Parts: sequence; structure tokens; C-alpha cells
Amino acid sequence: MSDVVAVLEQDDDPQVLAMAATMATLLGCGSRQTTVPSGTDRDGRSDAITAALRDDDLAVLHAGGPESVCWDVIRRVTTPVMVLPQHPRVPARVTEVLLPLDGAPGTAAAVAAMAQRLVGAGVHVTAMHVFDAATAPAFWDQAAHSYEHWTEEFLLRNLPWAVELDLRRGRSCDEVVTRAEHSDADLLMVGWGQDLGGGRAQTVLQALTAGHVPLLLLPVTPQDLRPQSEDLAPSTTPPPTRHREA
Amino acid sequence: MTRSPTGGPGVSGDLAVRSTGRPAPREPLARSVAAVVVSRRAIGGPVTTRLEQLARLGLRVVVVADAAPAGCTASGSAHEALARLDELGVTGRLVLLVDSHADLPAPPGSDATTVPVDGTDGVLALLDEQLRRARSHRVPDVVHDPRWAVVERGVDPARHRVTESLFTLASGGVGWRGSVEESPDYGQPLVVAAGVYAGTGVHDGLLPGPDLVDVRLRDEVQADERVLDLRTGVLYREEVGGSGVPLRSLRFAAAGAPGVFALRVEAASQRMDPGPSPEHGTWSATTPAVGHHGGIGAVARQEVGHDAGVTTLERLVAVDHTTRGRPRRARAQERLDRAGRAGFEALLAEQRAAWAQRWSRVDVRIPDDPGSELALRFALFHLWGLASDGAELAVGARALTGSGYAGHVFWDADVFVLPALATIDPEAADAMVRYRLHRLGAARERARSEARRGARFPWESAATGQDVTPARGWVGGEQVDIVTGTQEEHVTADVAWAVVHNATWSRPGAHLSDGERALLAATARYWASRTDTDPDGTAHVTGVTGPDEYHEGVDDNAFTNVMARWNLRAAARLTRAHDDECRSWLRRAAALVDGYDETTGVYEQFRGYRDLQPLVVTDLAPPPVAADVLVGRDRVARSQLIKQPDVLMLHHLVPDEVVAGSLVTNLDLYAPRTAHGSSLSPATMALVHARAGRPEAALDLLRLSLSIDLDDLGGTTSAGVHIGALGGAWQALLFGFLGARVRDGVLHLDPVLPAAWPRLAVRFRALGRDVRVDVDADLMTVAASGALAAHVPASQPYRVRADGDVHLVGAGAP
Repeated sequence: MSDVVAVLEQDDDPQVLAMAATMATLLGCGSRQTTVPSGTDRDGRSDAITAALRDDDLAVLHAGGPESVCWDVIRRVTTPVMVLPQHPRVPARVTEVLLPLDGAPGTAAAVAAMAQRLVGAGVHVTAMHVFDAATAPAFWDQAAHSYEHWTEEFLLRNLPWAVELDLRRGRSCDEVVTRAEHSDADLLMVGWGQDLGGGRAQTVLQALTAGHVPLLLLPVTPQDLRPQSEDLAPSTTPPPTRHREA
Repeated sequence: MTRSPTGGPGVSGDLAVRSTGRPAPREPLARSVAAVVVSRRAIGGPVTTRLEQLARLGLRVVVVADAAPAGCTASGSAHEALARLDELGVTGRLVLLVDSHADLPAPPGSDATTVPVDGTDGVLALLDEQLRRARSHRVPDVVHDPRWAVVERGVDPARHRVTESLFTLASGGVGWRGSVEESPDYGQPLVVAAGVYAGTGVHDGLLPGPDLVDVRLRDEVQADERVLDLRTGVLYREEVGGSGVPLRSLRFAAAGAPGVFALRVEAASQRMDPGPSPEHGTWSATTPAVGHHGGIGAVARQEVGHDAGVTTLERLVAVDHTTRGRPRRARAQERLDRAGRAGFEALLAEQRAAWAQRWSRVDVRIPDDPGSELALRFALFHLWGLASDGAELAVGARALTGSGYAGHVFWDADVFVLPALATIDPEAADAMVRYRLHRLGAARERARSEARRGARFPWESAATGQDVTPARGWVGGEQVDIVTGTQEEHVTADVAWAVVHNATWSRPGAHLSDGERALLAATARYWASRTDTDPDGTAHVTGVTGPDEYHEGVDDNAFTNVMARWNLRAAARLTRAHDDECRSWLRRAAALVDGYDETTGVYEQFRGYRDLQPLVVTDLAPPPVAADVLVGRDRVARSQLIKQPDVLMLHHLVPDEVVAGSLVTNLDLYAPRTAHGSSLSPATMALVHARAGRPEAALDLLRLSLSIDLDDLGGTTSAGVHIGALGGAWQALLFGFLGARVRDGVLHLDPVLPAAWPRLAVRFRALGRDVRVDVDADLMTVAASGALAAHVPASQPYRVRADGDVHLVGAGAP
């Protein structure tokens, strides 16, 4: 990662600057800032921010209201983006990160490098998985034993670097945001498909509109989703949980 | 650190690397076959010498002639030769037909490798190649027959631990997970032995034995194809997609030499570091640090060869394991020496023959549904992995294929595995019974400690027979108290049922041993002391959990009560208890309530069940689904959702204890409420659907059951295959679709087959006989290896033909 870039929609946003500095220190990289040009329309501002970012930058910006350029930027840029909710809880140091995983290989691939880097920097990464109708396991044979095997395999497949796995049930967006708000999490880290339409990305929306914990968004790239070639693919590729139509 | 062939640290010894290879001038076939067939005109002079040498190495050599050289077999024709080789497990391209004089073409339909050659030089070149390959330990070939081969392609870390479980090989009570040779970081290589535990109490777990497989390899394998050939019990691997010499390996757990394992690996020279090869082998052993006696030891020796730019490694390992004392090298060494004298090729030939013999006695053929056929054979393969010559057999929930469930023995063993094993390997089923008999003392002690009489078996059992159920666990992310250990008392009746079922199924006369009668009486005494009698004279069992673990601490669970009733009646009938005691058992049995409502024809699963919220599983999610994980334990407890068949288990296990004709009514009620949150559930439900005359729904459920491990539906096959589900699937075929039952020494058959199965052939063991049932269109043929009485109901739709000593009795008899 080259730089942490503080993206300022106004001349001075001390929270964005503080968060950018914290991340730069944590990741051991440089930092710089860019200011969103005024007097242009949203597309123009979004274009300007996108142009100002290099492929391996981490952008930090503030979520505003519905007209904020933030919503365009997070859908467009392919670099990691950290978004501060409107009323963020900006940590002086990042020691705890909460990482929701849906069990999909693409999501795990999107967050893998950053998670490994954070763990290497001494951050405690807690993976989180929420069981719903689409992700509940088919079998839970014996409560005395199933947890051990299921969680071990889930972590090995999705995030072998995570320190622990927190399992919840319910609506994923509610559970993730609630858990983040009521824990020591300094960051919420999410792999996502950069699509806010059609009821998608509810966790991202809820975290930014109702939460206070900074959100690190890692786009799921086509490479993350790329299936193995037919020759290399296993005869069956079972997910750890089934993915059904909700 | 140096790693030994068996994985132990710090090995020293002679470096007896034997270079047996020499450059290969040319490769007429470029692979190793298992058998050579030549014509009479081909033999003579140096050809005869070569054939004798091949036979001495262990290859099958057949001469189509009246007589054959030493060690070779004479055959009347190529067709006859191939048929004989097929009986020995040598099929398809593994057979080399040397057509030296245009007089040995492959018979029509044969997949044998036919090589036309000119003159003696051509024959010699072929034979010399096979001799050279065998002597330099080249990896033998396998047949990729889609009806017999479970194939895995690619290197996917997420899938690898699953295939380690699927590809476990077992022999002599020892399981060897199918880890790849180089044991990558994401693998979980493991060797375990049945009944050998470490730790104490709830911390019991299967003791990991010495690693058998590790091979150091430069340059990772990027992609490979692995083939578990069920027909011969070998696991083959070949690197794909690379350039140059591919890594190849073949291994097997010797079916004919219990506790012996064999491995060959080959790779480009310089790529593989085989490590030291002590002349007399390397001994490694593991023993429990705390807890029990016993342990697992392995002695291994290996030879290294070189052939045409390829380095080869041949390793033979013999394992000794014990639950008492320490594993003994001398015992293992004796096995290893015997295996070494035979040689790899001969061991492999024995392996193929032993598995061919197994499949000739127990098998399923469904020509129109090859997927189900293969999956059922996969189930049989792992059930055969339990074959053991030991005094007892502890079958954990994941058998010998992984560390899951700590290797603990549940009711799965008695109700799902044992009845299947009795139809496959009755000796192993007997050994399972002995596991329980040897722990009758612990069961008596438990009952005594709870102020009961008789014997109470534990929900989770390991080495001692004391209950080793953990006290806490998790349902998803919800930490919970575990009450199965205190409340799933039905296991006591299940154990008794398994003892009686085993005798009924396998022994003409259903004779019970003294120990078995003692167990039956002790469990009956337990139930007699466990039931409470109301003033109205009815008897009750309160505070239990049935197979449906979504509802804990219930009263008068139908399954528990009816199994207890069966236990009391069976003991009165089959033991030699005093008449007064027998009469008291019968009175108590008659007084036990079972929740049956004559007006509706429904068995209420437990008292109060009908008042619960009438949810069906599709209200939550499509089954199978762990409903308790999805909505929480309390929520499912307040509903009529059930984890797995509970009442319906009675229609399977003790049909004479439920009201005749009550299956369909109860199936209609309980099937929509069944979440299949237990991996045991789909197989049982398949079975009862078949018996209810619903074979299409039964087939869907059977396929679901068979895919649990092959498709890793639950995400935990990495911890081992679900041997209970595999046993349940075989039972669904045999007892469900085929309708096989043994009553009073008579085999009853009542097939109910789906439209997708116009033809079905099943071979199994029953009443001391090898039985074959073939259904083809409207004809059912029953044959047996000796005298057998069989009954088919007049209502079933097939014409019936009895072959050989099978005697048809009853209404369906012609």
C-alpha cells in the first residue's frame, strides 16, 4: 500500500485527518490528503477523487447525507476505502477489528490480504458470521461437538489469520452493526460488491447511517470471484454453508 | 530436524538407499499393468523366463494354453482369462494382452490393453518394460471406471481436508487419512486406531498415531487428480497440468494383511527427497500422555529406485495398536517382514483380489442411476474400513476417518452402523456388540450410582464405558448446557436392540450368547426401575430427550417409551430371568404409555407436543437446515419442528411395537416438521418413505443422505465422514427400498423401487448366507450361498424366482 489518502469534502475535517494518520501509522505507510473540488457536480467531484487515488492507496473519507460524494466514490474506486459514519468514533489506535464474513469465497478473498496485514501489525481481528436462512448450516449434529469442527473449518477456509470467530443469528446487518457498536471494535472491515441497489449491502448502509464505527471497505474484485478453470476445479466445490435464495 | 518415514523426529539409522533402476531404453507401454496374458505360441525360451519373473514379483500372468510356466496360470481362452482376472480385481487397461501372433485379439467389449507385436523381440520388449518398472518401484496404473472411482481434480485448500476424510484408507482397525504425500500446511494428516483414546473423561479423544506418509517434495504440486478406486481399495494420484515428469503415487491399506499399508511415489529425479531408509525399518509410536494405556506404533521401511529420470519411493508400513499396555514393535515387525517378503506387487495383487472378493459378496448395482450406485459403493467402502480382527470394535461418529466428535461412540454406532455392518461384515458387527458387552460393568455402575437397577449405557462412550459427554457446548453462537449425557436415555434400549438385531439378522436361530442375554436383562432391569407408575396404573418415563434433540427434558417421549417397552418384552422373551421377573417386565411394558391416539392414528412425540406452535420447516428455510442454529434453541423448543425422525424411528426399528398401518399417518404429520438438522435424518426418512410406498420421495432423501460427505453439505466432513449417515444410507437401500427384514429365521423381501430404478441388484449377508437379490423389470430373483428361507408378500408387484437353495415361504410363494 502506498499512501493513506485523506479525502476532504471541506477544507478541514479533523476526524478524517486523524483517522488517516492512525491508519498510516498502523500500516506503516505514507499519507497525503486531497480536497474535493467545489463548484462541480457530484460526478465531477467523484471523478476528481477517483483520479487522485492510485491503485494501492487507502482512501479515508466521511459519509455525508444522501448528496455526499462518498456514495459515488465507494461504488467506483477499486482501492480500499475507509468511510467514517456521520458521527464517528475515531480511535486513536486500532487494536480491535471486526470482520463480518458471509462464507462466500469472494468475500474472504477480498479481505484476506488486509486481514493478514492487520494481524501482522498486532491487531486483534475477530471474524463474525451471521446465520440466516441463506447461511445456516445444514446440520448441527451434536451441540457438544459441532461448534468446534464447524468453526475451525470456517476459519481455515475463510480467514485462517483471524484470532476468533463470533457466530450470531438473525439479520446480518443488524447483528454486525449492533456487535460493532457494543464492543471494543475500532474498525469494521467488510468485503463488498460495490452495489448499493436492490436491497444489497445493507450492512454497509446501516453501518454508515446508524453506526459510529469507521468502516473499511474492500471491494470484491473479479479476480476474487474468478472460478478456477475447469481443469483445476474440484469435482464439487462445497461452500461451508449453503447459499440459497432468501 | 530429520523426519522419519513414519514422521517421528530425530531418526538415525543406516542409509540403505538401494538404487534399483537403470535407464530405460524405450517404453512400449509407458505404464505398469497388473496382468499379462499371452498365447501359447508366444512362450518359450527367454519369454518364459520373463513371465516367470513377472509372476514371482506378483503380477498375474496367464497363458492361453493347456499348461503354463511356473507361477503362471493356464487358461482356455482370452475370454476365460479376462473373466478370471476380473474375479481377482484386475480389469480393463490393467490387463496387457500380448497379441504376438495375431491370435490373441481382445474379446468384444473388453477394455484390456491389446498390443500387437511382431515376433519374440516385441514380446520381450513389453515384458522387460514391465519387469523394469516393477523392480524400480514405478507407480502402478489404476482403472478410471466412473462406476467405481471417486475422482477429485485440482488443488483447492478449502476442499483438501474434505478429501482427506473421503480418501481415508483403513485396515485392521487403523485409519489413514488421505493426505497428500507432501502434507501441505492446510492439510490434517492423521492416523488413528479404533478404540485407542488419549485423555480422560470428557477430554477423551482418539490418539493420533505416527504419520505414515510425509514425503519432502520440491516445487509444489499446482494441480492433481486423485482417484479413489473403490473396486480395488487403492488411492491413486497424478499431477496434471505441469511440464515434465508428473508426480504420481499409489497407496492402499492392505485388506488381506490387516494393519499393513503400502505407498509408492514417483517424481522427477531431484524433486523428491525420500529421506533415510534404515534397512530394518523405523519404529515410531505414540502413547497417551495422560489417561489410558495403549498406543499406536508403526514400523516402516522404504526403498528408493531410479528409472529413466524418475526417482521412486516404495514404503511399507505395519501398524500395531493396543488399548492395553504398549504397542509392540515385534508384532508390527513380523507383519512388515511378511509384507516385505511378499513384495509390493504381490500385496497389491492380493489387495485387488481381496476387494474383488468383498464386492462379490456385498454390492449394489443400479445401472440406470450410476450416481447413486457410486455413492452407495462409497458408503460400503467406508463401512468396510471398519473390518477388524480385534476383540472389540469401537465405532466413533466419524469412524477412522478423522478426529471429529473425539471418536466418541454414540447411538449412531448401534442403530445406524451396526445393522449395516451386519449385512456386510458380520464379524465386525459382532465386534461392535463386544465393545458394549465389555462395558456392561460401567453401565451397571452408572445405574447403581443413580439408584437404579440394571445397566444404563452412556450417551457418549470411549475407552472406559463411562459417560464422556461434555457438559457445555454451542448451538451456533449460543453457548448451552449439554443435557444429552443425562437425558438421552434411549441409548440404553438402543444398545439392547442392536444386540438382538445383530443376532436375529446374522445367526440362524438368533442365538444370544450368555453375555448378550445378560446385557438384555440388565437393560430391562434399568427400564423397570426407571419408569414411574401413576395411580391409574400407567407407567411413564419423565425428563428425557429423544432423538429429536430440539425438545429436551420431555415426559413420555414416544421413542424412549416404546424402545423401553421393546427392551422389557425382548428380555422377558429371550433371557433366562426368573419367571416372576419376566412377568413384572411384561406388566411394566404393558403399562408404559406410548402417546398413540386411536382417533387420529398419531403417536404424540411426547406429552404436550401437540400444543406447541405448529411450524413446518419450510416456514423457516428449505431443509436440511439446522433450525436451532437458525432461530435459536428456545424458539425451536416452543415449536413442533423436530431435528430428525423420532416417532418414525419406531416404524423402522421396532415395527411390531407400533400399530400396524400407522406409518403413513405419522409420516404425513412429522415429515413436514423434520428439519433434518441431524446428518442421520435424511437416511432414516428415506427408509420410512420407501416403506410407506413413496419411493420417489425416498430416492430424493437417499440422494441427499449420500451427498452429505461427498458434497460436504454440512461443512464438517473435514473432521471425518459421517459413518452413521453412510450406514443409514445402506440401510435405506436394503431395509427401505428392498424391504429386507429377518423374522424367525426367514428373510422377508418387499421391494418398493422408484421409476428411476427399473433394475436393481443387491448383494448382502444375512443369516450366515451370501444373498443376491436382482430386480429386473417385473422379475425378482433371489439367490443365496446356501439354504435360505425367504418370504415375499403376495401384494408386491414382481414375479419371484428363487435360485439354488432359496426356499420361498408364505403368501408370496409360488
